[in-house]
Formats: sequence, structure tokens, C-alpha cells
Amino acid sequence: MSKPLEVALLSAPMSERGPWFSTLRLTRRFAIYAISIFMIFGPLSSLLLWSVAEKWFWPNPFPTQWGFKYWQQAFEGKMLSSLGLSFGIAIVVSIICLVITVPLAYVIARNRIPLKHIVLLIFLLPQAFPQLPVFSNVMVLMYRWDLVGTLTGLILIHLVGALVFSLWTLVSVFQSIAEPLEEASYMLGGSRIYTFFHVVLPIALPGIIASTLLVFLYSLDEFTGSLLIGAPYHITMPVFMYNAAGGYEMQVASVTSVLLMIPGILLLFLLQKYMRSEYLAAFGRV
Amino acid sequence: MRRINAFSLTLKQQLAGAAIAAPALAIVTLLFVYPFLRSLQSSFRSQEGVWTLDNYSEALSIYGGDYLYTLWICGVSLVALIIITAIIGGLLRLGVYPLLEFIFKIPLFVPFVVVGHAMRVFLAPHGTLNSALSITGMFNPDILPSFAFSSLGLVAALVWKNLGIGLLLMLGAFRSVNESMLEAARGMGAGKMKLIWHFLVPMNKGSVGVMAVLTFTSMLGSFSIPAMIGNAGGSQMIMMDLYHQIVYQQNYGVANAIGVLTYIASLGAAIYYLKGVTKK
Amino acid sequence: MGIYIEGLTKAYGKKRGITDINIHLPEGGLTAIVGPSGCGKTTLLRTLAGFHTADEGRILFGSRDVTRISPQGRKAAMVFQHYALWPHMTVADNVGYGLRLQKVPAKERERRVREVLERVEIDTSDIGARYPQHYSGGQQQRIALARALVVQPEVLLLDEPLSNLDAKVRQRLRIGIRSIQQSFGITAVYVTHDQEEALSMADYVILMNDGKVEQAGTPEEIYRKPSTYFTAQFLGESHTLTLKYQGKPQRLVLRSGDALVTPVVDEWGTNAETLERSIAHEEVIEEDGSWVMEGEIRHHLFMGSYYRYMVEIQGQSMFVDDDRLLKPGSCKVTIPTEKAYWFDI
Repeated sequence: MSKPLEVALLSAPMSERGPWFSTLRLTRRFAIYAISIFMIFGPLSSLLLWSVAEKWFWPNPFPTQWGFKYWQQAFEGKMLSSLGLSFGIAIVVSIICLVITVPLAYVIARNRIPLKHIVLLIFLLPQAFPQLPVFSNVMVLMYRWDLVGTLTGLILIHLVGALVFSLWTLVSVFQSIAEPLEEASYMLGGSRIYTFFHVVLPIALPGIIASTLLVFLYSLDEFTGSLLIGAPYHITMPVFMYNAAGGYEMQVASVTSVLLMIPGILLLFLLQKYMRSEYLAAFGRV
Repeated sequence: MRRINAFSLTLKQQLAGAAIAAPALAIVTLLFVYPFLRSLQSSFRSQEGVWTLDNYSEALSIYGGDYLYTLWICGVSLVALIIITAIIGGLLRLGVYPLLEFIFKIPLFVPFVVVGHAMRVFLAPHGTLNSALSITGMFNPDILPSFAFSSLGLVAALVWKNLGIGLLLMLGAFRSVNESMLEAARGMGAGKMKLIWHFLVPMNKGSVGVMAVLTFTSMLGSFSIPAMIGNAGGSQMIMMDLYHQIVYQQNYGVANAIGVLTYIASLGAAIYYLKGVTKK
Repeated sequence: MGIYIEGLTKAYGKKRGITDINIHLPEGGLTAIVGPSGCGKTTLLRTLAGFHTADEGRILFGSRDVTRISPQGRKAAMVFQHYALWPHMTVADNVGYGLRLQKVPAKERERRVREVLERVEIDTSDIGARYPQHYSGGQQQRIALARALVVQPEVLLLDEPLSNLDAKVRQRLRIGIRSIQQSFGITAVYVTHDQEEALSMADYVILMNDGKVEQAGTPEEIYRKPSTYFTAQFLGESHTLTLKYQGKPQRLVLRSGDALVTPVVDEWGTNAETLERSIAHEEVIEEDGSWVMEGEIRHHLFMGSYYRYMVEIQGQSMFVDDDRLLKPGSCKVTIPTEKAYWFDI
């Protein structure tokens, strides 16, 4: 975040051709902001409006009757259990991911794994092909293993995407730590394990936290797998939202949508400086 | 002394590495690679278990149009996405718009389903956009078009969702361009748009390509957005057909044939991507 | 086209700003702006180029006031430290880009591109197929020079153009750039941190320090007649000794090549020279148009064609160069008075 300042200094007022020109520049600037804000917040504000509209008759530009009726309804009904389920699963998935991928990512980053390229290839496939056709075959397999409609099945299907995403971000986190930092510890007699916990892990911690939060978010938002494996016994928030929208319950769907967006936007706000673009880029792919 | 490289792993280290990799590999292999291969196999088998190409001929005859429609929609969305992100990324690279970067990161954190729903309420015939337009009084609210249930709505949603990732990758590449290269061009009289299209984009062909590949695959495979909005009555996105075949027809042969067709469409993309990744 | 800079001020970062610069750069000449890093020389150049807008003051190219004009409109061209050749364009496209923006027809463009490349001594046979990366660093900088010159600018700005090259290429390109500049007869401003480069290439040198002009003049003037302590110690291989002179401590600046060491005892152990007058410790005396002081040779470095001695004078050390191999021990250091400069502390 120190970059914008520098850019500001380099390119601030480069072409001033009198007062009319600077007004033109200001208008252009204003237009760019206005268009951007409309593009991004237009659709999102619709959700917000719908979530507090108790009645909305066309062609009124604003809801006919405002209120939090649907928010109350949402929190009394089934949505609450979906909310609980989604958060529960997301927490479990994040923890499992953390335990499995941190050591693996480290080993890969340091080339201490046999057949590294094949391993990497396997972890690339889920990013390169569409999920739905594959997950529909997973559903068949899970029927055979009696996992459809179970929490285990749901967690497993979330893990597929989450592991891959988490692994790629963590590999880049560990690769960014210079090897001599570890070697210095080895030379002083630190064992591999001791060095990992006392040197590598503390340096990697911000990256690990960022990646775990993104995994949490991924699991919270996961839809395709949850629909195929979990429904109708375990309805996660996105599936609940999908059903509500499908049944033209505009307000309920909007309330759920707003709830689904909040964690992500909160993360974006609070963790701006930890969210390095590499992590976000990997996140966007899933 | 203790430095180990890939070519001199002892047996013990190999075992340790394999043990660490085992759980993640097991999950991904069993729940992605294996079903992926199964879908290939199943696409060549009839419901009686005979090897055949019937699934493909059936899939193509029923859904051939939808397949092309899907490629067309994804192509148009991709072009729109590249143009928008190149311009915004270029403006961000060349000037200071502190808020803009934050604003455009938001779509990254909005789930696909929510984007679908948001676009629907925004663009529906009686949606918020048309309401907003009718406030201005310049339009008759009853003759405003319904974007939500047209291809345009689909493109809008796909582009919107990918704005975050697209801009992120674009801007990352643009920021790596040496300032003096741009100054050299600016000093000669190149304006902002020329700087973007003559310099920033062609200098970062590779990164723009990776961005295109990633977003194309994501658009192709997106299922929740077309489930929410789309072409009313006309062609629909191929993932919807696939879902229909599985859930309502339970015809896995045809479903997997469709699946394989989408693999092929993203294969080019995948190869390009793999090449890029392994080069690193 | 002379350049007149009047009261130019630009705040930039914590250091690096410039305050109240008033100079005139002569037409057709090469003016070097030299100074330590952070002195504001690059800020000055970039303000001339138009990448920064001046806070106060004026810049005139000839009679044209360009202070508020964008970089595009100044008719100045720039050569950058890292060449800044565009890697996605062939050499021909790189050099022709400025003409393309001016909508010069293709035929004419090609002719002018070839002509200018020939003048900077680049082989033009396959410029349409080769990319800048295929050329050596020195050649790339020549191409960059051609790209700047092809648009026939009124002013040529060079931002440390040689600092990325190795020593031999740098030496040759100094002469190359100088002769190209002279053959085009263009007014050039050359920023460098390398004082040797500034002195050897320029018609006119501006020494900057802390955002201000410390001293300006021809290379000879500025080297031989430093008006401030900063100028004296910045230029040449200078050493500062704090010595007592006329009863109070003062700073004496002198340069390695200008001093002469004479051992008090030669290699046979006899007095090589009887000191006419004994030099009292802590004292500098004037003798036959030279300053004379007593020192001690501590170390020597073999430099190839000469030796470099570390001589200690009153507890302070300096380097003196000499062709002969001298023994460590007491010595007499002499330096012509006109080549040593006293400054009050």
C-alpha cells in the first residue's frame, strides 16, 4: 500500500493546460468514479433494497413498505440452521486444510518431495477443468459409499477445492521465504522440525492466516458440490439462497445474499494489507 | 551440509515427503482425478454398458446449439472483460484512483450464486436498474427491456463476477512495467489510451493470456449464474443442460459426453495454463 | 535553443526537491548536471521534461515558456538510464514510434528511422525483424538515442544514460554520445552522478547539492576554482585534512594526483634529502609555491601503472599516487599552492 503514494508523486500533475483543462480532468475523474461505483454497487444495492422491502409494487422506484420483517423471518426460520451449518463446515474445512496443506506446501516449496511434478499436476487439474461434470460423477461414487447427504460427504467435497487452492497459495508463501534463513538455523544445530517451528512458521504466519481466511470464505460460498452432495438433507447457505431465489422469494433470497456477502467484504476491509494479490489471484480461480 | 536438493533425497526423506503428501493426494485423486477419468469412460458407454459413441451424437444433436451458444457467450464476456479490465487497470497504473482498486476487488468476494441473484434483481424487467431509469423520467418504465432474461444479462453477470480477478491479474502485470518505458512513450505524445493499448497490454501479452484462460474456464464452468439468469426460451448455457441430464434424466452417458465437450473447450486453456505454470 | 531556468522550485519527497534554481544552459552545448544522490538533479531533469510540474519559477526553451506545458508539447526528447526500449516492438518500430504519433507517412518514416540509426552507428539491415533485447547494452543505448533524436527535438535530456554499462563500453559511449550531440548541434542536458563523466563530456557543468546549485561553470573552472568546500571535496579524488594554519584549524582539500611524497629516509637508509627547514609537528609551511607537511607512509596499493600510498598526516589519512615504490616511514608531502584549497571550518 506504499505504492500508490509513489505513483502519485510520479504522475500527479503532468499536463495542465489552463483552467478549462483541469475542469475537464476533474469531470473525467468524477465520471470514472461514478461509472465504477454504479457498475459495482448497482447490483449489490439492489440486494440491500430488496432485503428491507416488505412490499414493493412496480413501478415504484423504491419499496412501498420498508421494514426488517424478512430479516426477522430469516433469523427465525430454517435459514438460521443453514447459517450455522455453513459456518460449522467452513471452520472444519479450514482446520483440516491447515493441518494437511501447511506441511505439504512447505515440502513442495523446498523440493523435498519425490515425483514433485506429478504431484503438482494432480493439484492443478481441479483448477483447469469445470467442476460440475466432475462433481456429478463424485455424486455417483458417494452414493455408492453412502456419503451423499452426510456431513462427511459435504466436508469432503468442499475439501477438494479448498485443498487445491490452499496448497497453491501456501506454496507461494513458503517460496517467498529465503532459504538461507533456514540454513542459518541448521548451521547452528537446529533440527529440521525445530527450524520449521521456530524460523519458518513465524515468518510464514501472515500468509498462512490470509490463506486460511480465504479457504474459510471459499467453503462458505461453495455451491456446486453442496447442491449435489448435501441437498436436500444438509442445506448450506448458498443452496438455501438458491432455493429461495428459485421460488421467487425475493426478499428471503436477498437477505441470505447480504448475509453471504458480509464475511467476504469484512475480510476485504479488515485485512487489506495482508491480502497480497498472489493469494487473491489464487482465490479468484477457484 | 544439510542442504538437500531434489536430486539427492534419501529414502527416509522420500517416505516422509510421501507421508505428508498422502492425505491431500488421496482426497484430490479420489474425489477429482478418479471421477474425472470415470466421466471420460462413462461418456463412451451406453446405459447397457456397451462401448459406443451414441452419447456424443445425442449430446451434440440436442445440445450442439447450446454448446456453441456457451462458447459464444463466454467469448463475448471474455472480450468485454479484457477491454474493461485493461482500461481500468491502465487508468490505475497511470494515475491515482485510490478508491477504485478497492471497489473493483469487491466482486472477488461475492459468491457466484449471489452475483446471479443480484444481477437478476438488478436487471429484471421490474428490477432496480429499470426503476432507477424510470425515476429520471426520461424513459417509459413499461417499455424498458429486460436484460436479466437475455444473453446480455448473462454476459453482464459473468463479466461482473470476474472483474475482481481480472483486474487483479491485469494490474499486477501492469505494475511490473518499468516507469521509464511509459515515460518514453508519454514524452513523445502518447495519451492514456495509447499507453494502454500500445504498451501496457502488448508488453504483458503473457499475463493477459493467463488471465483470459483462467476467466474463460471459470465462465465456462459456472453453473449458478446461468441457473439464476439467462436467455428466456432460447439457447441456454451448457452446464444447465448437464445438470438437467443428471438430476432429471439421470442419463449419465449423455451428461458425461457434455462434460467431456466442456473439458475439450477448457483443454486449450488448461494446456496454456500448465505451460505457464511449469515454466515458472 | 538555450534553456533558461528562473527561480525554479519543486518540492518532491523528503529530500530530492529543488529550490530556487536560476541557470542558463547555452544553446547547442552539452550541460552536465552532477551531484550526489538525492541532490535534486533528477528532479530538475524531470521538471525540464515535464514529468513534474514546477511549484514556482519558469522554464524557457529559447523564448518559449514551457513551464505549464505537458511533456508531449515541450519538443524535448529523453534518454533513460535503463534504455526504456519497448521489448514488444522491433527496433524499427521503437525508433519510428514518435514519428507514427506525428502521423508521418510510412515511407518517410522508414527513411528517417534508417538515417538516424546510421548516424548513431547501428546496422540497419534487419532492424524490422530484430528486437532491442538482441542488442548489447551499448547498442541499446544508441538505439534509445536514435529514438529520441528522430523526432527532431529542440532539447535532448539524458538521465544517467551510461550508468548501466560496464566500464569499457561506458568510456567509448562517452565519446559516441558527445560526437552525436555535436553533429546534431542539439542542446543537451545530461544528468549523472559520475563527476568524471560530467567533467569529461560537458561544455558546462552544474554541480548541485541539497536541491540548490552549488557551483556552475566550465569543467576546468569548476574543477580548478572551487568556490565552496562542497565543490572542492566533491570533484576529483579529493581528501580533506583538518590542519592548523595561521593559528587556527582549517580544512585543506587536495587531490591524490596533485600531491608529491618524498621519503625522508630512502631505501639505503641515508637521508635522501635534508629538509631545508624542519617541519614542526602540527604545522603546515609554505615553501617555493607549495604547501609542505610531514607525514608517514602507512600502506601501499599496487594499482598497475602506479602505486597508491596511504599517508598519515597528523592522524588523518589520505591517498597519494606515485610511480615509484617507496618504503613505509616518514615522508614529506608537498602540493602546489594553487592546487590545494583552504576552507574555514
